[in-house]
Amino acid sequence: MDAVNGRELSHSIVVDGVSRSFGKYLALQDVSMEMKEGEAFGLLGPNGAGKTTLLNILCGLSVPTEGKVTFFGMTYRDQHDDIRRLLGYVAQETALYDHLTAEENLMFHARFYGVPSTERKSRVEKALELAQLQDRRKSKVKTFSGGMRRRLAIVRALIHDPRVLMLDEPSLGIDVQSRMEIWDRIREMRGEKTVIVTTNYMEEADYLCDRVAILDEGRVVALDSPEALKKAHLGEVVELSLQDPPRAFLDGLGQLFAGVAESQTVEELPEKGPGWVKLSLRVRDASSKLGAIVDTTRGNGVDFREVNVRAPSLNDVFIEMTGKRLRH
Amino acid sequence: METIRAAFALARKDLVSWFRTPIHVLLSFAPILVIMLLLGIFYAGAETMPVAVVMEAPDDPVSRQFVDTVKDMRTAHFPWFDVVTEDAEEAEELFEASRVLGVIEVPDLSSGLQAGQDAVVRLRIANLNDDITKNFRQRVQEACLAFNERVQVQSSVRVYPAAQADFDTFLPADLPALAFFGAGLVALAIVMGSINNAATLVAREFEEKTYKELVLAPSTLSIVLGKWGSALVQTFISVALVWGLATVFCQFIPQGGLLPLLLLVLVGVVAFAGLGTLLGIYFKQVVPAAIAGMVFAIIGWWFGGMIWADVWPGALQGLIAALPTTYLIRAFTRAGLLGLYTTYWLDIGVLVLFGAIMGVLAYVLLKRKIAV
Repeated sequence: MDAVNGRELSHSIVVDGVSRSFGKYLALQDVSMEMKEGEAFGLLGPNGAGKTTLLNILCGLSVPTEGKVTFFGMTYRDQHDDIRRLLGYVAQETALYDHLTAEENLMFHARFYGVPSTERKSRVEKALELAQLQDRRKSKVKTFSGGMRRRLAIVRALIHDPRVLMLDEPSLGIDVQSRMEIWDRIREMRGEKTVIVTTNYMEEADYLCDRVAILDEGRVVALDSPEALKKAHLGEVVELSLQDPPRAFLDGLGQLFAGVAESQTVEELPEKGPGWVKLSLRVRDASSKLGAIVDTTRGNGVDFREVNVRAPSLNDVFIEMTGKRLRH
Repeated sequence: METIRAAFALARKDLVSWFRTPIHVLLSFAPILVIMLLLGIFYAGAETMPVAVVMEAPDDPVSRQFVDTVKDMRTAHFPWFDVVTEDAEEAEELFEASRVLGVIEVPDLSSGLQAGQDAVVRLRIANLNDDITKNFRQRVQEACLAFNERVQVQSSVRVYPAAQADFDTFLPADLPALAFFGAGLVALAIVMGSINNAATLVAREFEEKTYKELVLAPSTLSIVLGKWGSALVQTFISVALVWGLATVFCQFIPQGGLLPLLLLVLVGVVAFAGLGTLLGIYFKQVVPAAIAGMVFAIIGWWFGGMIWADVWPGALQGLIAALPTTYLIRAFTRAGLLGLYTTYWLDIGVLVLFGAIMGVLAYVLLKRKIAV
C-alpha cells in the first residue's frame, strides 16, 4: 500500500523492465513503473516518446520484446480474458459506429462486453447522463461534434464498469469547452478507478493526474506527482519579454546569467509582434535574484517590457529534463 | 455462452449499420448482379440450341450417322443441339415461327461420298450476323469435322479437341444449359457473397479504426463468429435474390428436394465466410479485401467446374480438385438439377473441413494482426 494524494492505494499494474522494438527502432527501453489502484496516472512525452506503445502493451494490443506487465497479479499470458474484463480503453482516434445512435453504440458495447441484460438499460442511461447526451440519445453519431463523440467514447469505455480506464490523448483535437468537460469527468473517477492517460498537453497531465511518468525516446526520465516533480526540479521561473535583443546577448545568455539562473530558454512571441521574445530563467529564490537579472539585461542594452515571476509548470520540468518543448 | 452472446451482439450491430447504409447494401449485391449480367451476355450463345434436321435420304445409314453425330455434340455439361424435329414440313413451320434457330439440311451422304464428291450440308439460319447464329454455324461445322473423323472419309482438323475429351457427363443429355447456368450462378452468389460480405465487414472495422475496442473484448473468437453471423444473413439475402433471378431468367427449378440445397447454402456461406474473414484481417481495407474476394470467387467458380473444367489438361485437373469452389459448384448443380447424388455428403464434408481450416486461420491471424 502506498499513499497518493492522501489516499491509501495498492498496486494495480506493474510494468517491469519493458522494452519494445520495431525492427531496429527501439520504441521503449527498459521501462518500469507501478500504477496504483484508484490513481490517475499520466504518461507524458512528445510525439514518438513511446506513450502509445506503452499504452498498447498495457492493454494487450502489443507484446513487449522484453519485460512483463502484471494486472492485479495477473499476466496476459496466463489470464488474458480476465485482464480484458478489467480494462476500458479509449483510442486516440475516436472510433464509434457512425450509423448507430448514441444509445445504440452504448447498448452494443454493453452487450459485447457481457453486461447482464438486467443492468444494460440503467447503465446506458447513466452513461448518457455522464456524457450529457441524454437529449441526443436517438441521434446518429455521425451528426455529433468532436467533443460529443469524445465524451461518448469515454462513457462507452466505462459501461462494463472496468477497474482500469486507459485514455490515449483524451482531449486531442477538441475545443476548449469540451476539453474541460472531459477533464472534469475523468477527475470524478479518481479514487474509483485506475485511470491511465497519455498526453502531450502539460496542463492536462497537471490537472488530471496524481502522478506522471515523463517519457523521452522510449525511456522514463521522471516519475512522480506533478507537484513533487515541479518542486524537485525547479525553484521559480522569471520571464522577461524582450524587444529585438541583440544576437550577442542571446548567444551569451549562459555566461551572462551564470550564478543567477540554473537554466534559460528563449522563445518567440509572435502575438506581441516581430522581434519580441520571451526569456525564461529558472532560478532559486527569485526575490533575491530579480535585481541582478534586471541589471544584467539593461546593462547589455536590452529593452524589456514585462517581468513575471511564476511557479514552474510541468512544461518547465519537461524542458529541464529533456531539452525539448511540448505543446501547451 | 459469453462468446456466443458477444458474437450475436456484433452481428446485430453490423446488420443494423448495414441496413442503414444503402451504399453498403448495394455493394453486397452489385458485384454479383454485374457478373450475372456479363455472364448472361457471355452465355447468350452458349445454350442448347433448338434446331430442325431435314434429311434428303431418311433411310440412308450414313446420313443417319451424321444426324446422330449432331445430336451427340456437347460440352461437358450440356448438349449443343436439341433436335426438335426431323420432319421436313414441321421443320418449315417451326422455322417460320422462329421456334427453331435453324434448319440443318442433310444431303444423301452415301451416294455423294461414294462418288468421291464433297458433301455439302446446308444451313438455314434467320440472321447470319447474330452472335448466336454464328455460334450455331460454328457448331455445325464442328459436327461435320466430328463426322468426318468418325466415318474416316477424309482427314480433319480438330478445332476444339475438348469436344473429344473424356469429360464428366453427369447431367442428362436433355438438360437445358440455361438451368445449369442458373444453378451455377446461385453457387457463385454463395461464394462471392459470403467472401465479400465477411471480408468487408472485418476490413471496415480496421478502416474505421473501431477494431481496437472490439479486440479488447475478453473473447477474440466472438469477433470471428459475430462477423460470420452478419455475413451469413447478408449472403442469404443476396443468394435469395440471385436464386429468384435464376428461376425467372434461367428456368432453374430444383429437381430434388429443397433441403439438400438449403443445407448447401448454409454450409457454403459459413465455409467461405471464413476465407472472407481472413482476407478482411489480412488487408485491413475494404477495397483490396473485396477485390481479392471477387478474384478468388470468379477464378474459383470459373475453373472449379463451371465452365472450363473439361478443357484442362490432365495434370491441372488436380488443381481443380484443390479448389473448394469445385465442391460447392458440383454439389449445388447436381443437387439442384438431379436431386441427391452419391458424393453429396463427401462434398459437404470437404466444405465443412475448408470452413473449419479458414476459421482457425482467421482466428490465429486476428490474434496476431491486432498486435500493433
